[in-house]
Amino acid sequence: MQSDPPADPTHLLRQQLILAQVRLMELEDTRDELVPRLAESEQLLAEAQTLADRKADETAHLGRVLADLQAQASHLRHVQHETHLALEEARARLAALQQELDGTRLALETGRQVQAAQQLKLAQADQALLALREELHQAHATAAQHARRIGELDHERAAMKASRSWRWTAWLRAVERKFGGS
Amino acid sequence: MAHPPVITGEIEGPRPLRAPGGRVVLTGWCLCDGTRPAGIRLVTPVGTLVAITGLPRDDTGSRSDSGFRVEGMLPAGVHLARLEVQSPDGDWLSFRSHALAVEAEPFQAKVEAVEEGTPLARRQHVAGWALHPGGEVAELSIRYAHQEIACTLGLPRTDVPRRFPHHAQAARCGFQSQDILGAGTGPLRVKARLRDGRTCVSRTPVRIAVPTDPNHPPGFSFTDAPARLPRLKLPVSPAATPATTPLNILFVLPGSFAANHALHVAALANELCAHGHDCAVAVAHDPDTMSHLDAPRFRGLTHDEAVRGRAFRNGREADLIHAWTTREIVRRLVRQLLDRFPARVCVHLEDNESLLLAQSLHRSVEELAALPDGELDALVPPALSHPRRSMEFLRAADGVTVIVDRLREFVPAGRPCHLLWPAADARHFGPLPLPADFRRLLDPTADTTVLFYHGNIHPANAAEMRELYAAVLRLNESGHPTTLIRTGLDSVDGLGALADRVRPHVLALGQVLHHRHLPALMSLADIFVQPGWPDAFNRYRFPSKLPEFFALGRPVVLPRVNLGEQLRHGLDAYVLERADAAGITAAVVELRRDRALAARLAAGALAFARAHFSWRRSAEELANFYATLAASHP
Repeated sequence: MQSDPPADPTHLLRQQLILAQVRLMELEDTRDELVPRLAESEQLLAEAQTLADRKADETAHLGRVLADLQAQASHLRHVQHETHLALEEARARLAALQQELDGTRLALETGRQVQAAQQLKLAQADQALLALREELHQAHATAAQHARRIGELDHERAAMKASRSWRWTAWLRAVERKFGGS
Repeated sequence: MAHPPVITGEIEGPRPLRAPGGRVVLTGWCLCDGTRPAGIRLVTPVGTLVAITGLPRDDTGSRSDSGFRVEGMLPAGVHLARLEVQSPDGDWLSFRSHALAVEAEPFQAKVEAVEEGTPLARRQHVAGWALHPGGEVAELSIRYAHQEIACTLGLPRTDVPRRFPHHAQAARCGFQSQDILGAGTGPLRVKARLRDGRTCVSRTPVRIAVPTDPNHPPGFSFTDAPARLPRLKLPVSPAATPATTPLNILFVLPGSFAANHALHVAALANELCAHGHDCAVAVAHDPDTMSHLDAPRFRGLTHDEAVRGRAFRNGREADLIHAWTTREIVRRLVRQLLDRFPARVCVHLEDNESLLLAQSLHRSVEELAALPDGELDALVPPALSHPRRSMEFLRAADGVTVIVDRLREFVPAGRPCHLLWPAADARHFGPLPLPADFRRLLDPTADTTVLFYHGNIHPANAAEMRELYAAVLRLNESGHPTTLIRTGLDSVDGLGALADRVRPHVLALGQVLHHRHLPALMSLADIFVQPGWPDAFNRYRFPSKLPEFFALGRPVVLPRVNLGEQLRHGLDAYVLERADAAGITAAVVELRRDRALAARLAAGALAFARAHFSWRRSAEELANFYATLAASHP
C-alpha cells in the first residue's frame, strides 16, 4: 500500500516529513563519508607537495653538487693538460733513453756473444788441459815406471857389474870394444 | 672569477604552498648580497608572476624594504614553482623551489542592486551575473531557505568581459530570476549546472528575509531550529579475544544482501572478522546490495564467484561453509564447492521450510510429501527447500545452527546443533528518546499512539499483518487515535476492503534502503507490535525485527510463540496468546491507559535486549561451535 499516496494533504505532508528525515540521514551519511575522504585527499596532496618540495630541494642540492663537480672537472682537465705535456716530455726522454738502452743492450749482447765464444774456447781449453793433464799424468806414470825400470835395470846392472862373471869377462868386453863393433 | 651573489630570505606562510580558487598569494623577504634585489618573480611551467618588491619589513635589520609579494592567477594543477631573484648584473637566480597546488578557479556569481549586509525582504526579481571560468553554464537557479527559483540566462554584460577577457560566455553571463522571491529566510546561493554535467554553487553575501507570501501565512517561522529525529552512531569496540585458529568461513545466502537474513549474516561475519577469521558472503543475485550494509568487514561475492574461488586473503579455500538455509540454490552451490575442495559444512535453519514451500505452491505439506521424486524435483524452485534433498543435506552436514529451539525438530539425530539468536546492530539500534518536537509536528494534539512496523508483507505473514491493520482501524474507530508507521514492500495485497478504511491511519514509507536509518524512524513509536499467533509458521521462526524492537526501549506487544515463549508477560513484554486484532487493540489501549505498565515494559524490553541480544556474543558462541566441529572432523 506504500505505492498509494495518502489522499489527505496533511497525511501526505507527514509522510513526506518523515521521508525527508530519511533523506537527511542519507545526506548526513554521505557527508560523513565525504569529509574524511576529503581530509584524506587533502592529506595526500599535502604529502605529495611536501615530497615534491623535498625533491625540489634535493634537485637544487644536486644542481649545486653538479656545479661543484663541473668546476672540479674543469680544474682536473687543466691539470690533465699540464700532466699531458709533462708526460709527453718524459716520453721523449724515455724514448732517447730507450734508444741508448737499446745500443747498450746491443753492445751487451755482442759482449755476451764474445764472452760465450770465449767461454766455449775456455771450455775447450779446459778440456784440452784436462786431456793434457791426463797425458801428463800418464807420462808421469810411464816416467815413474821407466824410472822404476831404470832403477831396476841400474840395480841389475850394478849387480851384474859387481858380479864375478862381469869382472871375469871384463877382458872380453874390452876386446869387444876394441875390435868389435863399431 | 666573480663570486656568485649571496641570496637570503624566505617565503612566508604555511607549507605546502596552495592557491585557493586559482589565486596565488605569496609574501616574504629577500636580500641579494645584503641589498634589495632588482626584481623577484615566481616562475612556473604554466606562467610567471612578477612580485612587488621593496615592501617594508621591520624584522630584517638594516634593510627594511626587503619585503615582497607575489599575487596573481594561475591555471589549476600542481606546478613546480621557482622563485627567482634578479642580481645587480641582470641575471635571474633561482632562490627557492616549491610544489604549488593551484585550485581550479571557482564558479563565480554576483547578485546586483542589493546593499551588502542588509537582508533582502522585498518580493522582487534577483539579477546578476554568473560565470564558471572552466566551463559553460547551462542552467542556473537561486536558492535560499527552502526556495529554489529558476533563472533566465544569457543576458548581456559589458563589465564581466573586462574581468574575464578570454571567456566566451563573459559577454552574456547575466541572469535574472524567473519569479520574484518567495517567503523564506537564509543566505542566497547561486547554483549552476554546467554543459559538461557538473554542478556548482556560489555562496553570495546576500541574505534573503522575505517574511511572507501567498503560500506562507504571516507569522510562519523560517528561523526555528528544524525538528530532527535522534540517531545513534556508535563505533564498535575491537574484539577482545582474537581467534586462536583463524578460519576461512564462507556464508552462502539464497538471496541478496537486501534480505533480512543477510543482515544477520553480515553482523556475524563482521564480528567473526573482528575476531581474526576471514569471512566471505556469497549471494545469489544483486551483489551491489552490499552497499546497503554499513562498513562490512567481509568480502561479498556472487555464487559464481564463489565457485571460481579466491575468496580469501590467504589464497586458500574455505575451511568452513555455512549454508544459510537448505534452499536449493544454496544446497547446489555447497555441493559444487565440496566437489572442488574439502570443507566442513554447517547449515542454518530459520524457517519451517516445508511450510514455506507448501504455501508457495498452494499445496499441503502432506500432499507434497506424497509426490514422487521426479514430480517434486520439477516443482521445487531454486529459492525454496526441497523436502527430501534438504534432509539429505542436513544429514551430510557437520553441524546445524537453528534460530529457534523448535527447529531442532528438523535436525537429524546425532548432528551437532547450536541455537543462534539474532540481535540488533549495536552501532545504530539502542535506546532512543521519543522525539517530542517531531511528534508534535506529526500530531499537534499529542494523543495519538504511534505504532511502528518495519518489514515486508508476503504470503506467509499476510494474515497476521491484516490483523495489525485491523487493530489500527479498531483503535481509531474506538476513539484511540493510532497511526501505524510502516516501512517495507508488499508482495501481496492482503488487506482487501480494509485498505481504504485504514489508509488515513497508516504512514507507509516504502522501503528504507539502509537499515541503519530505521532506528531514527522507530524512535517515533510509542509501542512496537509483532502480530501473529502460534502456528506452523510462527513456531519455527524468529522475526528479525524483534531484537531491534527491544533495543529501542519501548513496550513490545507480541504473541506467545517463538521468542514470546521466553518472555515474561508484564515484565519483558506484553505477551498475548494471540496477537490478533482484538489482542493488539486491547494491549494498546491498556498500555496507553497504564503509563506505569508502559514504562515498566519499556525498561523491561531494554533489559531483555541487553541480556540476550548481542551479535558479539552470538558470534563468539558460533565461533566456539565451529571449533567443536573442527575437533570432531575426521
